[in-house]
Amino acid sequence: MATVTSGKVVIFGAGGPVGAATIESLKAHYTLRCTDAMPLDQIVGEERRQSEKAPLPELLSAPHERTVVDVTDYEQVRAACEGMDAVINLTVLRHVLDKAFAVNTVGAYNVAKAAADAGVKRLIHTGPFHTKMGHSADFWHDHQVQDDVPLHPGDDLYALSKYLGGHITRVFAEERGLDVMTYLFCGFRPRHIEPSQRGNGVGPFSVSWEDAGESFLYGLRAGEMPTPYEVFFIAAATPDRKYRVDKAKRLLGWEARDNFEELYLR
Amino acid sequence: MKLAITGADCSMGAMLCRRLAGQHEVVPIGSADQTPEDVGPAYRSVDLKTPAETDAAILGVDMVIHAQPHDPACGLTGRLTDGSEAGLIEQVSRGTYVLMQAAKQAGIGRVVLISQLRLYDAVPEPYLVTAGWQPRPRAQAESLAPYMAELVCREIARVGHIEAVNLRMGELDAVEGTSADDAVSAVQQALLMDMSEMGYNWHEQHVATGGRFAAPGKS
Repeated sequence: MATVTSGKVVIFGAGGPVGAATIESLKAHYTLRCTDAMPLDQIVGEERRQSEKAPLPELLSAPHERTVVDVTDYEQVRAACEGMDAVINLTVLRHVLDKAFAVNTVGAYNVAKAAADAGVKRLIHTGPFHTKMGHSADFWHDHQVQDDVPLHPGDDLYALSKYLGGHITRVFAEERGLDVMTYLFCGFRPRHIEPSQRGNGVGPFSVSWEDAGESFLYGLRAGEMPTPYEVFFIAAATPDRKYRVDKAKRLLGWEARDNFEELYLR
Repeated sequence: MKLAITGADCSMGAMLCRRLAGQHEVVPIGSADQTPEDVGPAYRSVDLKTPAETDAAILGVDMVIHAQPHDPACGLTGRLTDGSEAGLIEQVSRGTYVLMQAAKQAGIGRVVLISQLRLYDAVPEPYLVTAGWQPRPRAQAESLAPYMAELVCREIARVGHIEAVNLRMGELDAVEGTSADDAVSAVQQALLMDMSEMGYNWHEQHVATGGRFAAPGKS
């Protein structure tokens, strides 16, 4: 059984805003090993926020740990997975050729291989769902698109390098018996809505940082999945009906609490 | 036709360089610093991961034959990678991405990818595998690498501006592999085929002379 209701969880890419929200959600339930390519103390000390409202990670004290791990280095990743019950991979590098492939593709390989070699119960991998790629093979003009639809990344460096990482992770799930969930995200925003933002609208594949973090708690605790590799849209249900988000509710028991109604009501 | 052929320092690429040189102007591209035997003086040592090197290497060619993913681990040492599994994944995935982007930018209409039939080794023996079946690589870098090359070519071709033909081949001249004659014949057809009627920019086929992946009655 891959369910992880307690124990140790390593987070790769813990210094980003999704990492910060995930730490907040998991810290009371698991012993966390929070890793990033840059020391978390430095990220917090220098207030390296991804955007103005993006959260910074809390610097947890023992028994939690924080350490520097470069996911492009297999030995570092393998050491970080030692003794863990679950692995969460939040690493991403978007627009630099060498680092995009190193982090998004090779990093995914290293994390999946290390998780399988270390015998962890469950890996939650993450990636983007690009809603509007600017080519006719994307799903921008479709409705009720489902979580398992094959991604069409085109030639976009970020989308394609992450897409390869997703396939690598799937192969490890199918071949090595690793229980893998892949969470797909698109837009993030804070839970709090400023009065000036009311009626401004919201993107069709959005989630609050807080809800995103909470989705990992549900993922770890979820029961056995239908297949070793399951993909989930992590987004709020919005009335445009472009993307279905019921799979996460059905299999994880998770649904976004923030539906951003104030943003799309007159 | 002027052809750039990658993997020229490995068995499949080198054979294609030698055999196609009689009918085409060939630019052999490999990773080895020294020119391999028999591929000709036009050989260029290129790190396909590097746009500047790749752009220069394919300048003026009409089509590209990307044979390196057929022998993914061949020659990937020295300046290109650290010899690790991760290095192999990066070399083939990023190298194919850079090559496809360079070809597209240069206005090259088609890339012929030489991938591996071994991607189907995990399929049970009695099944009659065809090119439309999903590949089943092992969870190892050497097996994943040609699959990464396929995905990169397919997804870039899918959105237009360039065509890609994927020829999955067995071990060169092995009893249960792909003969040099069949490999050359398939590549020549891939260079000349009219894809405009197909409605797709991506085409794939298997090229097996013998063994379980050969057409019924062929082996």
